[in-house]
Amino acid sequence: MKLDPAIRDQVLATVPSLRAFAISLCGNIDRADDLVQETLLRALAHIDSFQPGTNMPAWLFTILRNLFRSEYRKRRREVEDADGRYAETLKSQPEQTGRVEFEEFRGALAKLPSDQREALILVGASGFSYDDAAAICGCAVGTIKSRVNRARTRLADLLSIDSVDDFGPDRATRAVLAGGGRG
Amino acid sequence: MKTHRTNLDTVEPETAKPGQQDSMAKRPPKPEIRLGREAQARIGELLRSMYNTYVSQGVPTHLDELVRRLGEQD
Repeated sequence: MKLDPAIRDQVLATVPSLRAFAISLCGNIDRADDLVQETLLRALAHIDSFQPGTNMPAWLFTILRNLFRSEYRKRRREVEDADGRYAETLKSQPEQTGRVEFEEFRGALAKLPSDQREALILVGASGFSYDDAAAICGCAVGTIKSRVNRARTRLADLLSIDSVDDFGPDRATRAVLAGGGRG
Repeated sequence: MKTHRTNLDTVEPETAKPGQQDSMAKRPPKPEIRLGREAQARIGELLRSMYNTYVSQGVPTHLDELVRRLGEQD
């Protein structure tokens, strides 16, 4: 099958972000590349089901996300146990943040439940709208908003970022709230 | 380096509406905690920085060639 050049260009243009999403989810570059390759093969095999003029990135991200959930989720423990070795294989190092900060953030992100992690990345980094992110994850928009909010709150705690809102509870109160009434 | 547009700064957590049912219905929902704007901004900055670092890695040759090759096949 010959791929329409316009479609091919859309796919090619999406691959860098698709790969970044995969690395963010997997925490492992080799596995992310396998996931991207599998996503591309599946997408190209079913390219007839893509409606020209619709959102190519959302379509590809949906395929990758579903593959990750179905085939890679069982390996979640490996992500959580990742020791940062993978980052050494990056061709270029973090620019806007220092290496230590980068590693701390990556480690904290890996500790999030996968549904919160994917929601945060899709909305906060990949640039999808809440509607698109909800469609990609197959859930309601409100669910995405809640997952993003919980992800940010958890990251703030893990990274000791002061999360006190001007009109919100103080840190001690938040700790009680976050504890969910334990004890 | 390309910087991705994001929607992180506009997050408004949605709380459950009265009468909504889900699998956790018997347990009272935890109150949603709102982060301060500075904390939101900092997390957004760290997230985008990480993501853009990955995007800036480029695409491995074999993935790029995979799409181009399939595009040329009849």
